[in-house]
Amino acid sequence: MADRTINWGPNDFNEKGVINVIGECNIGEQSRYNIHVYSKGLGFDPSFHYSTDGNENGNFVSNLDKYPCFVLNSTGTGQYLVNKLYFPASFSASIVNNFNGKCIYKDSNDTHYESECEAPFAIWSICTDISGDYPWVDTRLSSNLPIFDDAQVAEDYYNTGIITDGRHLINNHIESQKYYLSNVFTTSGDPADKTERYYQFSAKKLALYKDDTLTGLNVVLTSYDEEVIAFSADDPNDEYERVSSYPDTWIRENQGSDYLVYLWDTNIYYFEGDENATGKQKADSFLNGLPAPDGKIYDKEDAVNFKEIAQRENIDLDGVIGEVVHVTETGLSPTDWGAGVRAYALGSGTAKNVVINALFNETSNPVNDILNGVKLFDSNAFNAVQGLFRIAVPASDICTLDAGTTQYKIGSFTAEAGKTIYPIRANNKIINCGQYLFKRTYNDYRDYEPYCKIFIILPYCGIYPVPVSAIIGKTVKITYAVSIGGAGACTAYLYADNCLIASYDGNMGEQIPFVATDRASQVSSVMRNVSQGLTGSLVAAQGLGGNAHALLSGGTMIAESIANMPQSMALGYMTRGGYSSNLGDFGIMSPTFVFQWQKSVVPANELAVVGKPSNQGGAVSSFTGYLKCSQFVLGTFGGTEEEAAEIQRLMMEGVYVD
Amino acid sequence: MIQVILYNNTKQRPHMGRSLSIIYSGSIPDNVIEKMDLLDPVVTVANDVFPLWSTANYMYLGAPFNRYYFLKSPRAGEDGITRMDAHVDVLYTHRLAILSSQCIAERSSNRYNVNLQDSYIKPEEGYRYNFTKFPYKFDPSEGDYILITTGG
Repeated sequence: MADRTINWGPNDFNEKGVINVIGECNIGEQSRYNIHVYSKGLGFDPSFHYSTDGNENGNFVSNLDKYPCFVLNSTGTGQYLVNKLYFPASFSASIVNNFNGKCIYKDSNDTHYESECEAPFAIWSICTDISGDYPWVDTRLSSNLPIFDDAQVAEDYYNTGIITDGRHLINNHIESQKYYLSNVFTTSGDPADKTERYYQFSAKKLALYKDDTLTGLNVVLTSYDEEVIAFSADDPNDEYERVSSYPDTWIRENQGSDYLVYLWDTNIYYFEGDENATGKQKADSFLNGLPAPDGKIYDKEDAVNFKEIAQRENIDLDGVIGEVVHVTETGLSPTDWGAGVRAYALGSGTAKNVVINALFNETSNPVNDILNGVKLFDSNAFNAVQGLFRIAVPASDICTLDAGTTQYKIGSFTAEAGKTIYPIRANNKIINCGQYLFKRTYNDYRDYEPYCKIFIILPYCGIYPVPVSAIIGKTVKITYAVSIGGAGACTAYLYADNCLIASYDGNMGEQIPFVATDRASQVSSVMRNVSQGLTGSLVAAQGLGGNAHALLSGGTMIAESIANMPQSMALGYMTRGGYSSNLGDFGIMSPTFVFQWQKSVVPANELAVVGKPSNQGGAVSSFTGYLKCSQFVLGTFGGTEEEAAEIQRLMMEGVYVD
Repeated sequence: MIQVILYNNTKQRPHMGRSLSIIYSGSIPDNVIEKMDLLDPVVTVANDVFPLWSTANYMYLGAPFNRYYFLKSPRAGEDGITRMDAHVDVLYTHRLAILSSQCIAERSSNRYNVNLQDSYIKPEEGYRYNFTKFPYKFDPSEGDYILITTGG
């Protein structure tokens, strides 16, 4: 679930210094939720915020019997909003208390209340228009929990986990799109009675479908939600002006001698019925993402005019190869560390010193007893010690730990640790570094290579170029897996819209030389890690179309990568993560994307004077303003050959269609 | 007689549309058209009507021409007759045929693709940067030491 920030209140929430958190920051599995709320107003600290545990990190939530979500609901006169957060009872009590710390609302009698609510249904209300002692409050909510604008849909989801009507899910980051629909027709057969409709729409999702029960204007325009902003013009060459309504029905094809269509031009997907589903059912399925009665989820490729629009809108027309993956399914390591070979999290700071000192303490760990306990290892205790290393994260972030103990096993000898240490049960957690929705900047070709370059800096893994098209317009997430058995070997996973698109290997383990004979092998191991890391990275880079050659050179990767870029595009201050030992500890500590754009100058009147590159085809009448043709085929023409040649020349040189 | 409409036109090529103000509408004898050329006719203008013609820069000639023409500057001939050269306005005369014709646009003001390279956008010296740091921060000082042993 992508984050979405929702603002409500009398003013825009854009004051300097207000943090706009749109990413989650948590550690662990999928069932962690971030909820950030920012409020400002008299009596409220402008930076006041809640998260699931009152801190930047969200609490871990597991084994929920319900599906938490938000519902936003406007009641009364619309002067205030009541927001209900559905919490299962098993959700952490501290979370609920935090959220109920401020529960301000007013009822239909305009009576103010301030109270705390109890789980499982915690009602959390913010007034936006309160007089007297109550302040105006602007509120911003950001969460990766589903946020609905319909109470029934929210409650259904809460109980079943199924979204019954996707139109009411408002944080699925569907952006408003630009649509147009031009339709010129007559309903009398008389060209003099032509009706001309020129409309543009700003909406999340629109669809058209043929209603076979209608005659004449039998194409119905329907939308994903109510947020449709319409513009209209009497003449397509005029400025389109905002209108409060728009026609529901349209006509696409001639019907008899009365209903004649002179113009039908749109980029809205149009669905017609067949033996499996009606046009409306298909359109609804397309809009909602839910199956039609025939069980199929219809998408844009099922639209009658998909290819026509795809060509015009420059949509990839390639066929689907295999099944489309919307969410990459990932696994977790099943290795059980519970017995035999055991790993212990000693703690941070001086923990290592305490435990190793205790091992050499004759009182707590008599040498003879140790030797007896490790006879299977030629009485060499250190042969039973498989590794000692430090990782850059708390073990609890990547492992399930058993209860703390002060003893551990070396062979059959039970050693005193000198402090509480935590046996590792399983190395089965993923570090979630957060996610962002990256948007285009220029909204033209300059958002892509070579005018824009993107690098990802991954702590302990390195720096890699990332294809712009792989992440722009998508919600990008980074996770880390860290191996205990691999002595801190780690892999960073890069997701775009929940699909894994690349992985990068690294190492965040610092090998602690335990005995002299170990050191050489550990260094050798380190070098092997480097080699393995590079190999893995190479595969990832090739998969992404990255600079594989640069990666082959290991430590000089960035330098060569930059050398292959146009000179002026080079980044001169890149760093790299460490593949070995503690070198990564000296690098950047948060995954970071670096965007670099070439500056450029655009003539302010370019569009009006010379237009923009088009490569679109159609009748000349479908163009307005400047038009320069790369190809022009004169249709039915009653003039002379010389005139035709002159027309051809003028159209290729550029004209203004007006 | 040939139908003639004299205009003052304020919208020139390469516009396809015209902004026309009628100055005169009537008929002229066939012999006023000195050069019966569909594309480049020449009109002879008598002295008494020259002031009228001199204010026009555009005209329409009816059958057999049926075309709109740009009027060029008048030429005073040695024979005492003023002549006005005209050139057919193909864009306006044949605008309906043109509008219904098919084309592929190289550049357009209303149907364009911003993802195509644009030669009118010039690179400028310098670059813009943005660093987007993810919320999670590794803190090695909070990292754990791990001891792995063999033993049951």
